[in-house]
Amino acid sequence: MLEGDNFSITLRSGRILQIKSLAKKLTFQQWVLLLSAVLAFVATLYSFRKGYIISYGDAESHLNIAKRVVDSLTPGFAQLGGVWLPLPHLLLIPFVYFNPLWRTGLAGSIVSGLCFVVSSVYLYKLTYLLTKNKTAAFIGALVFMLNPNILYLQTTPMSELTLIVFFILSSYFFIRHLEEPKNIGLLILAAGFGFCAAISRYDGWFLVAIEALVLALVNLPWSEFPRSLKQIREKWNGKRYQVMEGKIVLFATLAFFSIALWLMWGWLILGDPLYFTNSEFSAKAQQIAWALRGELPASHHLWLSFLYYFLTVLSNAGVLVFLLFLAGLILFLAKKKNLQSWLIMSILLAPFLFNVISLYLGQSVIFLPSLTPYTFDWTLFNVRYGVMMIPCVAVCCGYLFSQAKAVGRVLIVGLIILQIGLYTVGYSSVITLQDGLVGLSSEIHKVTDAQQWIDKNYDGGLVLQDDFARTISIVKSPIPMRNVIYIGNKPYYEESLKQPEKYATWIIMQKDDEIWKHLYQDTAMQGRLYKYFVKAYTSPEILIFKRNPAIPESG
Amino acid sequence: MKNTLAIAFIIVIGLVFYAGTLKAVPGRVDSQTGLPTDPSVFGSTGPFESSHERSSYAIILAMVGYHNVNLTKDLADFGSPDVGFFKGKFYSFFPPGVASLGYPLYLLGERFNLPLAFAYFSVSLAAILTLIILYIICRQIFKFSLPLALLTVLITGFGTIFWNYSITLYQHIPTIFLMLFAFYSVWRFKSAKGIFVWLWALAVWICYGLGPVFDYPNVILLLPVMVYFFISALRISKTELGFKVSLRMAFLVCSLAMIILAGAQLYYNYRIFGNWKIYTNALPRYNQTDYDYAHLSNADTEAIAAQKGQVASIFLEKNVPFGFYILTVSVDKGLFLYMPVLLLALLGMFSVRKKITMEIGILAGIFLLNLFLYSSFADPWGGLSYGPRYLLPSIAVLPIFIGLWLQNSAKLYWLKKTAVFILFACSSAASLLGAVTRNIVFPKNEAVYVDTSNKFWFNIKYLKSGQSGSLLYNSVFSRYFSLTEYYFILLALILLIIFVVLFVLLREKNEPEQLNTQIFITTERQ
Repeated sequence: MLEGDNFSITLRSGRILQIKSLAKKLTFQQWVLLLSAVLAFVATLYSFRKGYIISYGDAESHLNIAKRVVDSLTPGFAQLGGVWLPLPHLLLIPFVYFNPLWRTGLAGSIVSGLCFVVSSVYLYKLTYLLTKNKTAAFIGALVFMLNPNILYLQTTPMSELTLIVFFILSSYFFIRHLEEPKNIGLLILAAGFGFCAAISRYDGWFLVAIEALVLALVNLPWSEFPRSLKQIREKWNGKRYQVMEGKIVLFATLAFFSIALWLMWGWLILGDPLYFTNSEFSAKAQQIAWALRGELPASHHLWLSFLYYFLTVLSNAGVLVFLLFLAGLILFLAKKKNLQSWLIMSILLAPFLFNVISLYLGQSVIFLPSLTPYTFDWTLFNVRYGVMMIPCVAVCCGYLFSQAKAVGRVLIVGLIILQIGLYTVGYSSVITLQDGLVGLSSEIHKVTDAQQWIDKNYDGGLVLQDDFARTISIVKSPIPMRNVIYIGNKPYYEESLKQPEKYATWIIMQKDDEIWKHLYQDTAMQGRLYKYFVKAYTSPEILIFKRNPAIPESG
Repeated sequence: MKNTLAIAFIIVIGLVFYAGTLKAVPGRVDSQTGLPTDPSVFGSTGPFESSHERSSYAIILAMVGYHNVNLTKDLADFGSPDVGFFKGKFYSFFPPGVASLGYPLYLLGERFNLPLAFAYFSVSLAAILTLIILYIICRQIFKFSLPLALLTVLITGFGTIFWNYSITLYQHIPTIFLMLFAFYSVWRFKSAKGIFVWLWALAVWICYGLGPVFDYPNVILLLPVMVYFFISALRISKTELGFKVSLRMAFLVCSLAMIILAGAQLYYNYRIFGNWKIYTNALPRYNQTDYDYAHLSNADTEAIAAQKGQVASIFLEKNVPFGFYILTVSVDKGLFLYMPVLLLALLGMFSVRKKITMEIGILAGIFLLNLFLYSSFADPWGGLSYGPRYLLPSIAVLPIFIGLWLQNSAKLYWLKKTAVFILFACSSAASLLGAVTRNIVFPKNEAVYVDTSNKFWFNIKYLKSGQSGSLLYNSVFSRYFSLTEYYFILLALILLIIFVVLFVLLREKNEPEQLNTQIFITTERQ
């Protein structure tokens, strides 16, 4: 209405109170639970309708590994393999058992979605733990929940959300233990979730190592920090030492047990405790290939390793939220000057340290369009590693909010909303989805003519193919998993490489893959191949052979 | 009186230094093409060394020769590659604002056989007006003492690349004028009464409406000022019934001015291109070698323009890291490399962190938005620009933070003043080098192809060989001085002025003065 020189609207107190009471019907934590569940559902629905759930090649591999445990030529836990850590696949098993959930990838969406919801709730609790401010904790949780990269990955079978949930849970209980040192139950929970993190992704190994180190540092066995060699003896406190020893043994026994288990698994099943790093399928082996091409830019280059991961986190968080994170981090370190607070932050920053070290050691590779030279074959790869830092980003944003005054808080919320707007208009891209659609991680842009051919012409029978080469997608084809012969099906696979006609009706090979090398490059074997099979499909890269029914099996 | 003298001083030094380095040549134009007949204008150091200048000047020639803004083939070739085509016609990529400023002065200049010089000088005049507005802002809004306000103005005008873009035909200076005038108008609007509420509100909306006439991204760049305007017009109060949210009527009604201006521009697009969403900068690029294609083709240009014109495809977050590097510290265009004096502005920002007012926040917002926006631009270099020309709106406001730094603490005052002097000398020397020689620097990638350097100090080569685009130097002073001597005379003069302002006029006790606002405040409060 018009009032003098002003145009005014009156917001009646009654209405405001109504809205307030509506909001107060649920606690902040319940709102987080509700919102995260709704967001998880909506994002999954979107991803499903667009066909983005299995856009990553690795997404299908995760589904297939889990599926083979319950449904393959040789089902069993040995199908879990020895390169990827097993927990994400174990969690998928109850869902991939059902073919529709396996083929659509929704099995992965369920697992990642549940991890997302639990992560959101515990991130709220973690932020509250550090800020003692419920609104700030809610803001922190919102930063996490509304991050489009997190939202996308929680619709997929990728293992990032599995790690994130255990990372958050372990950190939460660990930090709570630091605040309540006498509560050993919290330490056991932290170790338990650390155990889960360490069998989810290798990042988890670093997390439990950092936690153990922090535990040692906050329980140093000196009544006062020794400032000379002489004081090391003088200030020694036997009781403190016993406490430190007890806590570290308790924590490490459980948290590090997962690592021991995995080494034992490699030794017993695959004959090498370090199979995960020594095998031809390991990340290290792949990185060597990149290095030979001269396309491992961050390897043994500390500044570039830092810069690559720094910018990867920026690309995952969105530039405005990232700036808030930096401001929050600096403020946290500047305001909390005691050692314990710095150590708490070191736990949240563990993914950063881990990834920089991995890049530096050449154990992993990230290609980022803003940094990778355009002369490289690919400029987008593995950018999803940056989402590991989103919990830390969210906590720091929450902390910044807790420290800001009214105008600052409005500005922080405004910037978070603006960031969402920038994603909406396409200024900021959902880089993990981009990688899945057009990056080197993508599977769907590689859908070949051969895939369409086999979809139309497959009429039953066992199919021999090199799973590692991902020549065709099993989930997208009509081939049942139990009809696939791959390297993990002993003795079918080995025998088929010598007598291809023994089991297989179909042989799918891609130039230079294992099948190609054994059956096509070797002229003697090629003769045998053509004796029993006819070439049913030919393209410059892919060949598909079908068993010739007129020729009987060899004796 | 003191303020009047200070403003007169700004006008005088503006005229002396900008006229002394103005890039132009005397002489008439070819009667057929409308282009200058002197071939030297097209070479390095000449007034048409960059296609940006040529393309904007082509609009003036089209206005003069054909009373139109579309270009003939000759003019299109002249302005290329900053020319687009649409359905057989050619248009400069740039909106007609700068050309409209230059047009009347061009006509006036024809009487003195100096059309080019007069047209270019329109930007110098806008620069002087901008410096005056800046002075008034420093004095009234930030309560700077007179010497401190003068110092701020001198740093902006002669210690940054503001100088380089005040002597040639670019859109940045008028943009800064609109931005600062709008900012000042909002501040006046806040406390104005009666008819002046409406006048100041009208001024703000007109500035915003005129923004895209000079440069399309002004719609975004002026947003912090418009947020300031909105907040200034908003009142939230608690009443018995609840909360009352009020917006000043002048804010709402005067927005009609902006709507009319924006509507006129959109209608113009519709009339010319048949689609209000298509604007010249989004047209397909014309290359001289493709005349037939551009002239005859009308296929898909509409689609290309519609796609190219989407803001989300021009500014992208993925460009931010590299763009930020280029704009701040790179050898090619780094803000702090060309103008190290602006490093002190960062100290200024830090010094006011605990006493941030709305006005300080808005200025910081202008800087951050400007930096953020152009960091995400695909071409952060700004073509062959001399320094980070896209950051000119920031360059105009950052010196205010230097002023705040000096104003806020008297600790180590001599040291601070010495730092300002030394860094100003470096910055001014770099800016003047471009102003009197070649006002362009090639980005690294392009420099390789044309066998030149991507470093601004490469221009010393032109200084030594006496190659300058300065009209006054080439016409008058070259008879008495070498170019190097001319450069050092100008530099010595500006340094002497700064020295006097810093070490003679600026006192350690720098409390805000009781302002004699007589010259600023007219009869509105009577």
